Amino acid sequence: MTVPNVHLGLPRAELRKLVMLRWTWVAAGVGVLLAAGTAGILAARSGVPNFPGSVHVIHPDVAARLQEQADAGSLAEYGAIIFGVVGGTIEWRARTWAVSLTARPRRWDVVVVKFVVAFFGGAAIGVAGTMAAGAVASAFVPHDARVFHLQHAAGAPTISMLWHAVATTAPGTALACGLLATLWSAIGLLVRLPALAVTGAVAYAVGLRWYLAEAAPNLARWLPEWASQGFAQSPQALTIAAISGSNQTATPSAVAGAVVVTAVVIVAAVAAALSIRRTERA
Amino acid sequence: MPLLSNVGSADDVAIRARDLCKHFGTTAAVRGCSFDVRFGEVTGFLGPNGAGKTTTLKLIVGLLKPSQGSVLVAGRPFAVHRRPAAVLGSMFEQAGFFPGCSARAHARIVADAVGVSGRRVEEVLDIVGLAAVARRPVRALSLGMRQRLSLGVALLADPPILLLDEPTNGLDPEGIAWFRAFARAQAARGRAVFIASHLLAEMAQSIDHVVVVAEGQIRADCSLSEFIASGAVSTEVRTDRPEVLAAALRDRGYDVHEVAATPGLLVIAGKVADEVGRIAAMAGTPVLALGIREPSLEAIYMAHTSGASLPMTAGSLDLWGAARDSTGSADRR
Repeated sequence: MTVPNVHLGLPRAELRKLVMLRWTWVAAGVGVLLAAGTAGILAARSGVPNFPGSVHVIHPDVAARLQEQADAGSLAEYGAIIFGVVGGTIEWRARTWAVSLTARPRRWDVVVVKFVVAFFGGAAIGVAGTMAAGAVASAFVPHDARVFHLQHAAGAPTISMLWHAVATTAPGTALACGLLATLWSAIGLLVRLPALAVTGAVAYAVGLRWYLAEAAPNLARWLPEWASQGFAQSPQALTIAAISGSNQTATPSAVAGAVVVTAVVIVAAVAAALSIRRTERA
Repeated sequence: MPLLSNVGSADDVAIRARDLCKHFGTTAAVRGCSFDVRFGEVTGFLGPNGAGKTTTLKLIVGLLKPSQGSVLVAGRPFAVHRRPAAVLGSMFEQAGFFPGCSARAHARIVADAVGVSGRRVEEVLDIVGLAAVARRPVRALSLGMRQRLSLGVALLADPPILLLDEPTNGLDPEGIAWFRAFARAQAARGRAVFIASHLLAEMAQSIDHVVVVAEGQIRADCSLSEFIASGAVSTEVRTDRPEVLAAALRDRGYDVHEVAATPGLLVIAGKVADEVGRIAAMAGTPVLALGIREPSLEAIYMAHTSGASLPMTAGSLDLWGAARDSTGSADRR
């Protein structure tokens, strides 16, 4: 009997659990479709003009519109939230703690790996959503508007304006989706009831956070989805001001983002500790 | 026993529980349990529902923390082993299955977690007879098939100790017979097989050692033959003058019980048929029937689990055509 790497076995098992779960694909599909669909609609309506030849001076309005289309990738957050919450409740729902914890009795290993897998799974949904948004938007944007010279000199390498915007947005979106998936995985572990946890996640995703952005933008900037944009130092980060129309709140800084990342880790650790105690009664 | 060297056990004790206690609030589920499970034996952990069997099993594998006492698996706490699943494989009655999975996928998930290859998954599916239905979703499997799948998962890392909670639940007679042979074969290979069950009759044909638990306490811990021997043998006699014979027997110091439900029936403690016949002759009482009664395994079990003395009722005697217990006696094993 060959023994594969035992240390990688646990993440692989967690990943396999999630891959087998229909909800994982539903969540990923929701995230990617929302991102791609919104980017496509924005691109179709934007009416970005066709430039005569390559340009090296980007028209601010064009840049803003392309960035907006790229930012639509952040809507993959919806999928990441569902992914996280479903992943967090899976063991309670299926009553598989005994199976998981007798296979690997060190509870902290098991729970930490769950969070790590949730983070990377969420981040993957974020990246997929952002890429899908870029791909769909690029179908609507004239080729010349997508390309500009990096330098003034003729023959210099060219890059796509749209994909440049996507590239600058993607790290923040991936981080946001990863953090949201981890946070909601932790909440799912605590709530245990899938229906309740998913209801809470949807309420947060479509209502609560937007209400918070309107009512208390200074508070909302600390939410993972917006703080992580600052942490990733995206030049065109999705700001509270952009969301709420308020100019009072600036894009969160990298420091703020780091604080939020730390906060998510602390929430996850608390959820892990409480869940570990609960598994003793499972 | 080569398997012992795999777990580094210094002796033949696979599981050693000492003064194990578990309280849930004010309820004591397990109260001072001490017992050993040995390699090369099938040990039955028997007790009625709610006796504390599953709680004890969870204490062994660390799913629960003991309120007091200790339990060692191959000389160490279960979780301390470098590859615990390669030391002890377990199946729990209430354990679930990962949703959306086929039998094979469920086993693959656990195989990943315990660090064994996909080829081993195919081997264990074959061992437990699920190779043909490996692609079927778990939700489409019968209860018996799920039991087999749980058993297969316990075998994944080829552990020398198996801990099985109610493994025959849901199995059809063929499946139960298969399981008995399986358990015996594992013990013959040097493995320790620890089976918790409330079904004594099914377990009696495959176990070597008995640990009886009731109300969270160990009531018996011995070999099966010792367990059977622990039941009080009695002599039963039927006469048309029971009061005369009873008096004659009591005069000679015998412990005599009159069975109210069956007029004329006397039960005398001990294997004393010859003496009873002789005394009856001397007392001038005709003996209509005389026989030795060894209590059924169930009767011994019930006596241990209820804490009562072994029953001496008409129900224990086939000879008289009285109401008999439904389980059969030990000598029919």
